[in-house]
Amino acid sequence: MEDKFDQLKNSWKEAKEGQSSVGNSSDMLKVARENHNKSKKAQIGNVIVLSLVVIGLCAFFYFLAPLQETLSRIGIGLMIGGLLVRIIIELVSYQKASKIDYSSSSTDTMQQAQTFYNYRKRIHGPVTITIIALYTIGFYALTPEFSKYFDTFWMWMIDGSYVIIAIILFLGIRKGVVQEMKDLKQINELQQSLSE
Amino acid sequence: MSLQQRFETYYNEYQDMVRSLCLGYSKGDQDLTNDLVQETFIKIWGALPKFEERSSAKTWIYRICVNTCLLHIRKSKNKKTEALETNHSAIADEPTRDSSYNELYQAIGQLKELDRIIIMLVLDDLPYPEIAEITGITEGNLRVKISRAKQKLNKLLSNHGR
Repeated sequence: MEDKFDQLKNSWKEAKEGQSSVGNSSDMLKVARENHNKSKKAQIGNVIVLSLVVIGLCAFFYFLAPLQETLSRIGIGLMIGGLLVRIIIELVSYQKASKIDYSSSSTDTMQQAQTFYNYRKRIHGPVTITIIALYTIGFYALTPEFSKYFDTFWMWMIDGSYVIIAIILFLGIRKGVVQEMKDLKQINELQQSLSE
Repeated sequence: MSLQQRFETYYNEYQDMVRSLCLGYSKGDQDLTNDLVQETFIKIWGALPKFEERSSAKTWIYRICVNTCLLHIRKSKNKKTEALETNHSAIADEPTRDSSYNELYQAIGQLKELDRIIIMLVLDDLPYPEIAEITGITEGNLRVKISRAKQKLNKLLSNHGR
């Protein structure tokens, strides 16, 4: 039974000996440096975007529309608070993702990846829904005071556009969640085959 | 030795080893192999400052490469259109590859991801204790897996026009 495999092993060795190195170490070093930094930036990209939204909202409500009513202020608090919670979650996510050690044994690395994706799974459930719900309540809590300054047509436009933006955001988030849940399923399968 | 020098030394010394493992894992798909090799060396660069050379550099690099391949399935598995047959015909078109080499890709391509990795390590003549250290599988369990994978490979190769 070993014959076929041994034959194969010999062919593999011969083929490997005929294989020549293709890359230049300086080129690879350049690629590694650039991509290592790029991946770090991409991971904190979400945090930067969310932080800019928070800064924009704060500036808007401070300089352009300093709303006075308590309900409006609660609304602003819910919107900004929800975003801040999301930023903290993203930072924790980034920290957890960077803890995945590829130089550990495969069982350990898969375990770390599993822990990370399980954390993401927990976030995608009730936490994300609560944040979106609070943000939405906060947004519509601004309507009574806004309606004093805008006519009905513009109020419909403002409130209606939020629904459209929310649908686009929901679809985008859903796509990411579905992908991450697929990833988790595959990691679970791998983890299982490692321990079988 | 500076980080840069260490990286370049490892690259020159182990790039063939990494490429060979990635090529087997990707079933001979050159594009995927290039992606995996690059991703492996990016991770090596990122992990290099923490590497204290307690284990051999070879084992350390193998670990990073194996884990990069295994976690890469998250991206590659979704490319359902990438049929195995396409890869085979691409390899068959290359005049430098002999038929046994093609046969190997066809056969190992039908193994599960983890078994494929383990068989590649066996083909690279790595001792079982080292494979166990890389994968984190106990040696006893590893022997069972290798035996099963070899059986499957033998069966596949016997059925393949012989």
